Amino acid sequence: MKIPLYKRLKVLISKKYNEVGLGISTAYVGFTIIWAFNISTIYRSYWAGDDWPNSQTPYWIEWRFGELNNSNIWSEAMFWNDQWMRGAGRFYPFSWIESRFIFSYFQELWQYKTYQFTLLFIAGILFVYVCYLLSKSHLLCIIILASLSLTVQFRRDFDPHLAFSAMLPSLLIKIMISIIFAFRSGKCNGSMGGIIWSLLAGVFYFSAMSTYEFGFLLFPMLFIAFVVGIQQNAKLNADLSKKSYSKYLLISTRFYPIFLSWIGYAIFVFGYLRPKALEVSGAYVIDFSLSSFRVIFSQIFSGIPLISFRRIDFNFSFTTILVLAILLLVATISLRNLFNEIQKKSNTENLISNKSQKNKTLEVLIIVFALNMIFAPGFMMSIQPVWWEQAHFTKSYLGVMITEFGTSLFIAIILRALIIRNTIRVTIHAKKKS
Amino acid sequence: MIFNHNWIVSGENSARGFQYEAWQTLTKNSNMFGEVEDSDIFVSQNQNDAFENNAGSFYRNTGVRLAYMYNTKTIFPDFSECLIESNCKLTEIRKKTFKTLSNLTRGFVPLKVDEVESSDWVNFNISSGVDKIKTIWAFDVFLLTPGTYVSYLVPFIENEVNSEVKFNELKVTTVTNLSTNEYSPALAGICLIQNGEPESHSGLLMIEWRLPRLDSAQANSRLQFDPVIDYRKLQFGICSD
Repeated sequence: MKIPLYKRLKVLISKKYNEVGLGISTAYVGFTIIWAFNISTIYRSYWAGDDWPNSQTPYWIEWRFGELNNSNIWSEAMFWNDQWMRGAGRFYPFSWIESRFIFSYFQELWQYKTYQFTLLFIAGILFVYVCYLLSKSHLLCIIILASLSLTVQFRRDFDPHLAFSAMLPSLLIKIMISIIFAFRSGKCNGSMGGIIWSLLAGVFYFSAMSTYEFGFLLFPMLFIAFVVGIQQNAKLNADLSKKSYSKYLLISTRFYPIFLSWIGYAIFVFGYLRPKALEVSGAYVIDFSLSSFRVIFSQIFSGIPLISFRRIDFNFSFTTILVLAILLLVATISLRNLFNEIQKKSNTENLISNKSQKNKTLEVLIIVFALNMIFAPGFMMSIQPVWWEQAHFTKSYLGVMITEFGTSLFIAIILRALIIRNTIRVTIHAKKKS
Repeated sequence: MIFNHNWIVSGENSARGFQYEAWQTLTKNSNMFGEVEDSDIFVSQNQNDAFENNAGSFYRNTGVRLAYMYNTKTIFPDFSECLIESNCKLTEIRKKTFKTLSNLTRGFVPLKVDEVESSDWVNFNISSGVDKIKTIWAFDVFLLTPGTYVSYLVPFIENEVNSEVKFNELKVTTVTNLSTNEYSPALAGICLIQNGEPESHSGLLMIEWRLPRLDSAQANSRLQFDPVIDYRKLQFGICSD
């Protein structure tokens, strides 16, 4: 007899709930609510930045071609993609397609803001899920979820949260999906299955780069996910000796589709489009100088909480005080439940277990994963001469959202280490006493 | 703290909200565009394609498909320097607006002949010739005060020597977010008179205005202004009642 989907879901949720425990589940729910609340401030904003002209897209299409239909929207998107390919040597058709359709179908401000909110919300949740896949640590993931509400800060200049057609959340979602697939590719037992996962990862990764070229610099994240996937592949680990491990990584055909999508994009954009471009100017000129180091350095900190604060931001209204009081209550309940759970676990599980070499490698990989996100936006800006005189701790560009996500992971790594160390100390102390 | 920061920053960019809403109210509800026809041209000192006051949005809201809504500086690049006092003339507006239509092909890479779409409204107007354009209108929308949005519409006369408008055909509408109108507008130094009752649309108050000589009480009085004036004299002010 076929079991209905909702019943299967119910069983799955209750199974997961039993695995995870009340404390951790409550913390997840609590910090998800806080995450949603924090970014729901998007609804207060108006059209911003490039969204002003882009929001006029459907009207221009109607005016120029007499009718707003899918065919006209598509040809408008393709027209601009072609212009930027031929003009500036850029290739980001997904951004054109998404933005033209979004502004054509979501013409009311609240509809578009809901789209922005939803994409950013999903990007955050997917990021937490990806970190869980890699680390298998609920504690780390809950702290990431909490940290996201601290590092994700709206900017007063180029803001990727409130403007720019939600291009950055869209890029992040595609990157996270490709990372999940890259991880599955490494973890999958069958080699054919591994290649299929890798193909899917390659397709999503190519679509991410074709949303914003920036995705190109996030390739190490996919590689790390693949390596961690292989680490978690029990069968493969049993078959491979330590020495043949790195050799396997290098020649693994499983990783080829991902690698090819990366190299393929590079050859197409940097080897073909850019040399042929008619008008590479302004922000699209690439160069490197000593100033580049200053730019990278300035951007590393752009995700740190409160970095973009100004005095005016201390003006609290009745509404914000009320919301903050509620959020504080939710955070307190979440943290209390989380720490109770940790305390319980520390009594039943051995937190002091000798860390295997594999665990240490995993920790290093996750740190590199975070650093990739933190450094990539600054690196991108550092090779654009227009930023050499402008970049500052408080002045950033669209990629800052990636730094914010990376910073939340980095903060979580540090806090988790501190929490574990403290819990171990308390446990040992309690055992000695008893 | 971060929540408060995000709350404040997201509220900061709503400054243009009133202008956007006022434009919607004006173009969807006002009677001032009744004589405007397809393929007419608007010339506007505050026009900006980056915002809502453009030909596309105008078409959506009014159903009138302009050939284009130009910024004055597109037609007269030296408009700011060309002063009436210096005897500078703004010549050949019809010829210039038509000629500039060919610059309205999108993008920054020139299209090949076979790439130009025949269904494109711009190409249609270009191929229809200059005579297809019936009227060129002087039009503008801007904030008179932080709470009052003002708009005027007046046709240019066919004059190759200088750009002049038929001032006696002037139409003016204000949209305010206040419960009552705060000021009477003045144009070219003449105080305007409220025309009919204010209309309320989506919380905004829309008022039409006219020149005083159209007032029946003053029908026989001496004209206090020229029926045709230089385009550059269309400067708004405020009347103290």
